[in-house]
Amino acid sequence: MKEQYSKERYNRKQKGATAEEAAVQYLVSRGYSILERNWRCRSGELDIIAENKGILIFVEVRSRSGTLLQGTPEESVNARKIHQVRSTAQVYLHMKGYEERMISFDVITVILNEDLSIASLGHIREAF
Amino acid sequence: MYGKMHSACLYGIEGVMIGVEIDLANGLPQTNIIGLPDSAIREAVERVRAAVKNCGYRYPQQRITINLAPADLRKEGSAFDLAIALGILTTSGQLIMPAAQEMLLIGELALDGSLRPVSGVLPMVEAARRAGIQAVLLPKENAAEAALISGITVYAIDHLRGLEISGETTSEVEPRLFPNEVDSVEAASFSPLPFPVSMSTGSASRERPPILAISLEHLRYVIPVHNTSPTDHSLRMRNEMLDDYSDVLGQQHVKRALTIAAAGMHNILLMGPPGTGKTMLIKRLPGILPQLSDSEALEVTKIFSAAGKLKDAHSGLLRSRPFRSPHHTISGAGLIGGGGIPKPGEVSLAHRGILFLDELPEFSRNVLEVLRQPLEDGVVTISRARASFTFPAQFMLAASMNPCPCE
Repeated sequence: MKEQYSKERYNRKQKGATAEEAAVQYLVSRGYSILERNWRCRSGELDIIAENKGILIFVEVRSRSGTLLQGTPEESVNARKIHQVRSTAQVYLHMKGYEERMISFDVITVILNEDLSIASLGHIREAF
Repeated sequence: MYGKMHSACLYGIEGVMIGVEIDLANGLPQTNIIGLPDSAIREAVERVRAAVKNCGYRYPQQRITINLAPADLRKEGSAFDLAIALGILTTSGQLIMPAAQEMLLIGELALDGSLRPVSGVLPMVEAARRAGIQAVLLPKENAAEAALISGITVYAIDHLRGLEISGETTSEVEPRLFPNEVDSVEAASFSPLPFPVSMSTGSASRERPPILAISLEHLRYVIPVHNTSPTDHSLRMRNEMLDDYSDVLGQQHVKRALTIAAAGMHNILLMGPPGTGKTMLIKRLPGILPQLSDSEALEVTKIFSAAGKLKDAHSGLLRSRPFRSPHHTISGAGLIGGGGIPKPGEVSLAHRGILFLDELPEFSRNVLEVLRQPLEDGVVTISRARASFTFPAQFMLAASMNPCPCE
C-alpha cells in the first residue's frame, strides 16, 4: 500500500545515510579523522564530528536528490538548523570537556542521482 | 588573547574617549559586543567581518568579545568600525601595528574595506588631545576637520589596505598558520574520489604572513598650504557675502537700532507692515557683526561638527557668525534640540550668532515658550531618561512681525 504513494525508489533515511557516507569518505580522503557519527542528545543530532590539525569540526551534511526544484542543499541550512547544530555542539563540548578547543562548523552538501550515486559534493568550511 | 584600542564617540556635543577592548578565546565561534551599544554599533560586526575578509585577512573563528568601556555609557554611531577591525586584526596576529594602541581610531567601514566619513570628528579629536593622545587615524574626508586641532598628528586612510606598504616584506616573521587551511597543492595529492568535489569557505582566505604596519608616515595628513593672509581671508568673506549692509538706502532709524543691537548682541524685534524691508534689514545684520574669536570659533565649529553640518572643513574653523532662520513650522524639538539621544537644535546652531524668527506670531505658541530658558540662561538643558545634556545657546534673537494678522 505504502509503496503506491511513494514514487521514489528510496526513502529519506536511505538518501541521508548515503550522503553521510560520501561525506565521511571525502573527509577521510582529506586526512580528517572522524570522531563521532550521528551523535545525539536531547537538543538534536550532529551528523559528523571530525578532527583535523587540532581543530574540532562539526559537519552538517545536507543532501538533495534528482532535480533541484526544492532548492539547493546549501539553501536548506536555515537559521533554525544553525541554531540547533550550535546548541547541540555546545552540549557535546560540555559533555566531553572540550570548551577550550578551536572549533569550526562546516557544511557538506551532497547532490544525489536517482539511483543513489553521488552527483557532486561541496564542502563549505567555517559556514556558521 | 587581548587587545585594547582607543576610539571616541559623541555625547551631546562633547567627545568622550571610549576604550575598545577585544578578547579572542576558543569556544563556539561567535562575536559579542558589550558595553551598551546601539543598533548601528551591533551591526558593526557584519561590516567588519566583510571588510576584513575582502582585504585578504581572515575573520577569526573564535569566541570574540568586544567591550566598549566605560560600560555604563550608552554609545551610538558607526565610528567604532575602524577600532574594532584593527583590534581584531592586531589581536589575532594578522596585522602588526605597534602605533595602533596609542592612537585614536575613528571611521566607518564599507563592506570592501574602504572608509566612510563620520560626523563629530572635531569634538572627538579634541577629547583625545585632552586625554593625552598624540595621533589620530581617520577617514580621508575627515582629515581636514581633525587637523583643526593643533598638537595632534593626523593620519588619513581611505582603505584598510592602505596600512600595508608595498615592498615591506615580512620574511623574518614566522607565518601564522591556520590549521584548517588546505593548500591547493596539498589537496591535489589526496586520493581521488569517484565524484566531483568543490570547496569554499565561509570566512577564511588563504593563509599568509602577518602584514606589517610599523610606520604610518605615508598616511600622514599634510594641511594644504593656502597663500592667504588674514586680510585676504576677510576680503574673501566680504566677496562671499551677498547681502551687504551698505546696500540699505535710508531707513536711518532702523539702521541705528540694528547697530546698537549688534554692538551689544541685544535681541531685536522689527514690527511693521509688509514690504517695508524688515526681513531685508535683518538678513544684512551678520555683515556688521565682528568675526568670531579663536575660542568662539572652536565652540561654534564643534557644535556644527556634532550636528553633522560641517561640510567644508578645508577652509578652517568657522569664522563668520552663524545666521539661522528656521521656518515658522519648526517644532519645539527642532528649535532647542531633541531626539532619543539629543542633537543640538537651531538655538544651539545659532550660538554666538543670530537666530532670526521671521513672522514671529506665526510660530506655534509651544515653540515660542521653549525659547524662554535659552534666552534667560544662554544654555539649553535637555533631559531624557538616560541622561541630560546641556547645549550652549547664547544667540541674538532677531524677529520680525506684522502688527496685525489681517495685513
